[in-house]
Amino acid sequence: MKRLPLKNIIRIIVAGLLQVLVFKQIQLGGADFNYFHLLVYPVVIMLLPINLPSVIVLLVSFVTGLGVDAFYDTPGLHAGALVMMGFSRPAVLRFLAPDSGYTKTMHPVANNFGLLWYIQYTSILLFIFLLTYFSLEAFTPVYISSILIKTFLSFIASFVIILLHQIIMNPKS
Amino acid sequence: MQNLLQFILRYGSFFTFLILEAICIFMLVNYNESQREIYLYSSQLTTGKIYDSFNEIQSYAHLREVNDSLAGENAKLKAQLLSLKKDSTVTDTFEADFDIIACEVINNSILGRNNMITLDKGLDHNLEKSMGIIGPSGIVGIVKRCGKNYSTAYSILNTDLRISARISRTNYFGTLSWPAKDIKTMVLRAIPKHADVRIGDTVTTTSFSNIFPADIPIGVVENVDQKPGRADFSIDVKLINDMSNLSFVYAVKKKDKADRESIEANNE
Repeated sequence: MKRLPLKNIIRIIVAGLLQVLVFKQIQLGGADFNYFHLLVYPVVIMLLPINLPSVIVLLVSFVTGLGVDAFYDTPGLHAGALVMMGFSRPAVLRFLAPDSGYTKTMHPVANNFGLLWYIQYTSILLFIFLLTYFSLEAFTPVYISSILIKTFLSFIASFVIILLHQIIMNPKS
Repeated sequence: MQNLLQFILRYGSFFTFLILEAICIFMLVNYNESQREIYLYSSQLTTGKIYDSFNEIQSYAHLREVNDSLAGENAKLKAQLLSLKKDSTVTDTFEADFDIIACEVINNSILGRNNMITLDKGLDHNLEKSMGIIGPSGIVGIVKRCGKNYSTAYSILNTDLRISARISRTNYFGTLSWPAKDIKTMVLRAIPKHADVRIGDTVTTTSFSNIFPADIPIGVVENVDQKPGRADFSIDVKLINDMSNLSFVYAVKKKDKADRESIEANNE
C-alpha cells in the first residue's frame, strides 16, 4: 500500500481548516502574554500509516504546511517545521517500535499500541515540530529563552487537544 | 526506471528532506519581513567584516591615489574658503542645510547590472537609509540599508535607480538612469524635444528629490539622440566621477527632510 488513504486526506483537510479557522483565533494568554499557540494540525502527519514511504510523508508534510502557511501569511514557516517533523517520524517510530515490530497495515493510534505508546509518540514529534516552528519564527538564536518558553507552553496546550481527540474519537486508523 | 524509483523511495527521503527544507527557508527569507531583515542583517555583518579586512590589504596599494585625490579635494576646499573670505555675504547654504558624513568605500562593484557599494559607516555613525552619496566630484549612489557599522548603497551604476537631473544651462529636467552599457555613460530621458540641448552641457542634480542637494554635478552631455516616435530626447551623459576607483565619499542628508516628506505626503 503505497498510496495515501482517503481517510488521511480528509483528515488533513478537516484538521487544516480547524487549525486556521478555530485554533488560530484562540489566544489563551491574551494579547500581552502571547506564548500559547495552539498548533494541533501536525497530528495528521503523525497519524499517517506507518508503512507509507518517507518521501511521501515528507511531500504530504510540505503541502499541508504550505496550505496552513497560506492562512497564517507566513510562507515557509509551517511547511519548514512540518517537514522537519515528517523527517523525524521514521526515527521516532523505530525508537518506539514494539518487540514484535510493526505489521504491514498498522496505523500509529492508541487503539493499536496503547495510550502510553501514543503519548510518547505524539509528544516527541509535537515537541520537534514546535521547537522547529518557534526557532524558524524567531530566526535567530538571540531569543532562545522566548523560543523555549513558547515551545513549552504551546506544547502543553496543543498536546491536551491532541490527546483528547485520540481518547474521544479513538480512531482505528 | 522501476529500480530508480525504488532507489529514490528507499534512500531519497534524506535528500527530499534537504530539498524541501531548503525551499521552506528560501520562502521564509524571501517572503517574510522579519526573517528577511534578520537574514540580511546577519549576512551583512559577516560580509562587511570580510570586505573590511580585504580592503585593509587593498588600501595599501591605493594609498598613493587616495592621497592624490584627498590633496586635490583639500586644495579645492581651500580655494572655496578663500573665496568665501573675500566675499562674506555669500553663505554656504550647502553646509547649513545638510549633514555630511565622510565614509570609505570598502566594496564597489561595477561589472554587474545592479551594482552596489559597501560603506564602512553605519547606524552608529548616524548613517541612515536613502541618504545620498557624493564623491569628490559628483554623485555616487544612494544608501540602501544600514547595519550597525556597515551600510550598503545602490551605485548609480544600477539599472533599478532613477535620479532626477537637469541640464544646468537651460533648467530642463529629466530622469537619469543607467542602461548597463558602459560604466562612464548614463542616459537622461524625459527632456522634451523642443528643449535646447547641446553637446558639452553640464547635467546636475535637481532640488526635486529629497536625497541629493541641488546642483551637484553629474556629468556632461556627450550625445543627443532623437529617437523617431518619441516625444523626448535620449541624452547620453558622460559621468564626471570615475566609478571604478572610488575610495572616499560623503553621505549627505537634508536636515529638514522629514518635514518636507510629511508635507508632501499630505498632498496626496
